[in-house]
Amino acid sequence: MERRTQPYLQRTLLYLVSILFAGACIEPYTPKLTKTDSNILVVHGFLNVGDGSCKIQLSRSEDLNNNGSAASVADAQVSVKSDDGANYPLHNYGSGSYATSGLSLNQAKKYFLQIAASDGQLYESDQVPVKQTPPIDSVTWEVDSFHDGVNIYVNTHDPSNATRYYLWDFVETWRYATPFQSTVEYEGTQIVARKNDIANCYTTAQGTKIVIGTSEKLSSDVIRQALVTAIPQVSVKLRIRYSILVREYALTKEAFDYWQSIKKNNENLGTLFAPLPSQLTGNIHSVSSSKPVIGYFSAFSVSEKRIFIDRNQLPHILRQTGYETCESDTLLVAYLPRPVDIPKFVRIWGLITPLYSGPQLIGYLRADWTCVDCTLRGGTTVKPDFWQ
Amino acid sequence: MNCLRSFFFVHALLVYCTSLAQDPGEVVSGDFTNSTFQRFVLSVESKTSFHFYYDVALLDTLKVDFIINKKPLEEALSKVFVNSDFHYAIDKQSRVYITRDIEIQTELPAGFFEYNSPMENQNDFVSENYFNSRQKEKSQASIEEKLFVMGSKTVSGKNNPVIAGHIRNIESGEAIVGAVIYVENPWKGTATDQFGFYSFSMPRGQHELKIKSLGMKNTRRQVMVYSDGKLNIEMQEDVVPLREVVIQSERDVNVTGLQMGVEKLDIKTIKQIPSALGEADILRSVLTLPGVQSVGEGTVGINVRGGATSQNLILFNDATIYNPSHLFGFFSAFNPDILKNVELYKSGIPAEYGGRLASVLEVTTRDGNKKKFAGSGGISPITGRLTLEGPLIKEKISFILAGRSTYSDWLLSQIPNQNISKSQASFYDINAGIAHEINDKNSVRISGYFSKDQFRLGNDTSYSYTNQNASVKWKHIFSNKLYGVATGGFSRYEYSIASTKNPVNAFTLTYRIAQTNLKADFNYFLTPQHTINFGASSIYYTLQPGSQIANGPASLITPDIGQSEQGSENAVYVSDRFELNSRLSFNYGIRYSLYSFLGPKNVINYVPGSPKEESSAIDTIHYKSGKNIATYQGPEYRFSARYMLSGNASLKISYNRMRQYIQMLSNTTAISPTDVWKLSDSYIKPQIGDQFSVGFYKNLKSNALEASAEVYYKSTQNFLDYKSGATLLLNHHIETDILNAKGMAYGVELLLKKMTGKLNGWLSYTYARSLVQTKSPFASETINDGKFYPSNYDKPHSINVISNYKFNRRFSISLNYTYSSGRPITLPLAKYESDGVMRLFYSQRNQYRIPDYWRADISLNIEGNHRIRKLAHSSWTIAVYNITGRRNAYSVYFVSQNGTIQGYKLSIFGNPIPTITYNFRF
Repeated sequence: MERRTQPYLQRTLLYLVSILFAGACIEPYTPKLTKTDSNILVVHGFLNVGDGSCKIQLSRSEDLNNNGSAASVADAQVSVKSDDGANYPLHNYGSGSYATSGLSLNQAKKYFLQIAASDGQLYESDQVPVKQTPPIDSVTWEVDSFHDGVNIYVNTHDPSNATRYYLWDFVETWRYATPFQSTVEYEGTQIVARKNDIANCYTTAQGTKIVIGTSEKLSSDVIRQALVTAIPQVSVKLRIRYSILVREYALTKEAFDYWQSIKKNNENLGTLFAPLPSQLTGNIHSVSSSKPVIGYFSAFSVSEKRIFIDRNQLPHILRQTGYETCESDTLLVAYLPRPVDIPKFVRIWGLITPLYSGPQLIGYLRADWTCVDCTLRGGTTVKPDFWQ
Repeated sequence: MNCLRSFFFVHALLVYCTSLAQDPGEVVSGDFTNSTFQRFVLSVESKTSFHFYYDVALLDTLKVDFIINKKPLEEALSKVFVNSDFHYAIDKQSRVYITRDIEIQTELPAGFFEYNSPMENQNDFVSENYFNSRQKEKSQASIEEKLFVMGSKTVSGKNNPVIAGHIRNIESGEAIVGAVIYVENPWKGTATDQFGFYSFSMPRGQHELKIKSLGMKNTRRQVMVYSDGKLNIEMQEDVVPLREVVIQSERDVNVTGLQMGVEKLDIKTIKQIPSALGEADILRSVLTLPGVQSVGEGTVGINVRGGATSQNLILFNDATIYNPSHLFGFFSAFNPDILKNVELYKSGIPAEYGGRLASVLEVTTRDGNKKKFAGSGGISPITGRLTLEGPLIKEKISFILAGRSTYSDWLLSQIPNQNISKSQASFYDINAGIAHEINDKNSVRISGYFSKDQFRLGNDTSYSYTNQNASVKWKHIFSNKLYGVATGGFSRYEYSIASTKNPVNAFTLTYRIAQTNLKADFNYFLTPQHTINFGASSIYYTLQPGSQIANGPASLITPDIGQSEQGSENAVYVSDRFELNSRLSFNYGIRYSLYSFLGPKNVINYVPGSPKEESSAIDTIHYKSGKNIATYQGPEYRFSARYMLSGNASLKISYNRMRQYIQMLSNTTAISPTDVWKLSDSYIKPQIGDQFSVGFYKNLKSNALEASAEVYYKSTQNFLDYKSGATLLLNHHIETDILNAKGMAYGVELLLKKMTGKLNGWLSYTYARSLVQTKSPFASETINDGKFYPSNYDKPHSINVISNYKFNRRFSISLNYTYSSGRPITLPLAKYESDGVMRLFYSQRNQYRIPDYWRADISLNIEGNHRIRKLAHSSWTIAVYNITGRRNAYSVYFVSQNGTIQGYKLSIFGNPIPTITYNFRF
């Protein structure tokens, strides 16, 4: 259980030290790096033996100080090959994206990836066996009062005891709302009743943590309560309704080791007994040079499971809204600008609702647009298909 | 040449002795206008047979201002001392004693020598009426003037006589270790061993023996040596603990001693060094010495001259300590209250020691008080300590019992957060010792040590580890020339991790290492020129390299029991300390060690000529219990030499080879509690280290200032390195994750020390490199393209300033300053995007460094009043660790958070840490 214990130990120790001595501290820090290597081929993707599809994303590594997006590798020839000579070229969809689908794959064969870059370099992966991913038994959650959060767990098992090494990733979606429900909108020169709701949005985000697990030390191939992610109790994600899609991939031992070292290199560093980071070696190599390649090519099927967590299921506590600074104000009709000025005015203020004194319209409740239109926070008002 | 000279010397003395009677007509004359007392003495001594005995320090300000012409000395001295506190006395042998306040009677009581003269019976016996004052202190002063006659005039021999005996504390009867006893002309001397025993030879004749020791008042004895004799000496403790600093007592030894690369600290020095957690800490004090470094503040693992933390042999009363830390490294495992001294050998390691490459750290505890019951203790922010000691049979058997515990559990429970108050973090340790002086020739010492650490946060995984040690030591003196010490010891270290949080994965993991060792060491004073040390040792190791079992009925954990490992390590050694002449002496020796890795064990065979990987395993061979699986053996050479360049400067060189058969597996930066030890086996070869060093030593200002420069070069074979992402715990084929590496270290250590005066301390600068090379025909077994790269603890520059200023006997202030280069780390070279997340691609190993480290600490020591008779003596230490609050980086790391990369710097003590500690003894 070293893998499980070590990071835990580090975290708790640091915690203890800071409690007892009020001394430990962590600060952002940017070291000076004299030499960087920013042109390493990065291969991301896998062969989905479940539906016979393969999607590969090619990019280049970048300088640490570079804030732009990753440089994609656009004009390469990518194909998946099997050890008996079958060749499945991938179609180039541009911006480094290569894909194919509808392949009929032989589960007993080994497959490998071949990339011919436009600069003449040829890259190949090791031959990998096909792993069948067992279905996810359940995705569960519980309130963890100790860390004051909600933990999401995955449970799975393989009756044939053949999987043993697992990788999961997840996609979170949550609904959120602005504090003010705008019922009116500006149309032409008129203020009219709002047709589309802009107060309720859905945000979807890919999980950023590497989640791996193994049952190699267990008598049967069972994963029980493997922690997928932990959400702070006060998080805006849990304020209304939250959903998580967990995807499971069966790994070979070698792939597991690769993902584990990525995890060590990216997540567990810096604490007292942290393992030392190491130079990563995947299973993709340059055929013609010793240049490193980042990436690990695997062939597996995918199983997935989605759950929802509603606020009614959670302890009733005050959660973040993300809109804590929002305030509404009134805008009296008497002070309404002339109709020609309204467009200027609407650029700044979102109108929430009309105010009446008896039957008489006297003004509107108003707030910053960012407090009225939820899409300004990156979400979409379109309810996802899976949303229940 | 030397022999010839001492021959003449002896004769001269004999001639001198025969004409001992004072010439009654001897007179003094001279012009001493506006002169000093010293000049007066020198003049009188040069012209007459008078010889003066006095404390130079007391009389250096005394002025002499007169002209004298052919007057008796009495008259001159009366003139000198008129209106002063000084008294003089002249005995029949023309010796002049100058004392303050007390008068000496130079006539011995009748029958005094008759009573004392039999050989082997010379003790510090004093006739009570002999002195005007019966106070111990004063009697001590007078005993210094008494002439002890050693042996009998009728015994003659070719060799110089050997004087031996014990040096003990007059208060507690405790043996004083490392006390230096010597005669100045010719310079002959030695230091007491761990039993307080000394033995050395000197030419026949009259000598003044000078005895100095850490924290004790310097004393001397007048001896007339005819043949071998025995002299036991009692020394008085310096009542004010902070008045004198240890190393002073060994001032001369730095230059004249044969040993190089050795550092001694005694508990009083250690207590002066401000510590982060308020308690005196040996290992942190050792870290202030040149050539000793650590990876950071949260660890007590020390790196000596570029060696790994596991290459230090840490002996606690001769028992090996495997984990010298508490609270995961914030405390060292040794209770400061019972420590006597700490010796660190960095080079020229004596043949007696073996088994680790880099250093030997010998920690010795004191014996219980043999004369009366006493206690001591202290309270610091995290711990409380109590020590009790006393005689079981007065003067014969004493005991000491010491306990230390944290109250951090209580502190945690006070925090109004349920989860924290349910947490646990505690440790305790217990030391017990019995010392028995059976008779003059035999003494036995038994010591035991037990420590336990426990740790749990909330209701999650709990963690604990224990050290258990016991040792028995028997010393037998065969004769003045030969003594032997037999030691038996047992050490055990184990840890366990238990988790019940997830019933399916609930587990208990335990790890254990135990060793039993037997050792016999002999010391033979062959001739005055040759001292022979020889002996043998045997260690039997058993390791349980981790077993994981289910914890609870719901757990699906399959028992995963690592196969136990057994090994035996045997060694014989002999060494000779040879004093060729007063300038040149050597210590050369050889140790031969033989190691066997023993069954029962299953050993995996791999395809020859291919990298050891799981995929290249061919078959497994089972070895029966006790069957030899692998054997390694070889000589370990030890050599050192000293050449006196002048009276206060010397040049020393040394070479030593060490072999290490047990290694620690760790791929974390600091010593982690889950690190495992591994015996050398069919695949993991023993580490072999060679070290050459040269040193230049010079004392300035009449030994008040010590300066030294040492240069060393070290190379290590079969050093351990790890594949990237190696799994070390519960790995049944660890050889597939371990790489064979070469180590290289070199450096220069400069030290300037001042141990006397109001201001004392030391200043050191070290330049040191420590490099590793991992090269193999297989790419998977090569790190950094097979080039040398800096080890995790390679810190080229370091500066330490340790200073202490005594305002008076009750107040002193210490200021420390430490600087070192940042340790190497591996930083990312590039980032890349994967699934919308930024990830890092790391450079080759250890190509960058964390920012330089520096820290200043201050502490104020306040002693209670110095009345000797009172209920309890107390002292306070108020300290601020890291007074500038500098946020020294312990590590620098990068994390990808929410899709972006952020670098962080972790500081362990990022603020000034004030502490207050109360100590008492009664």
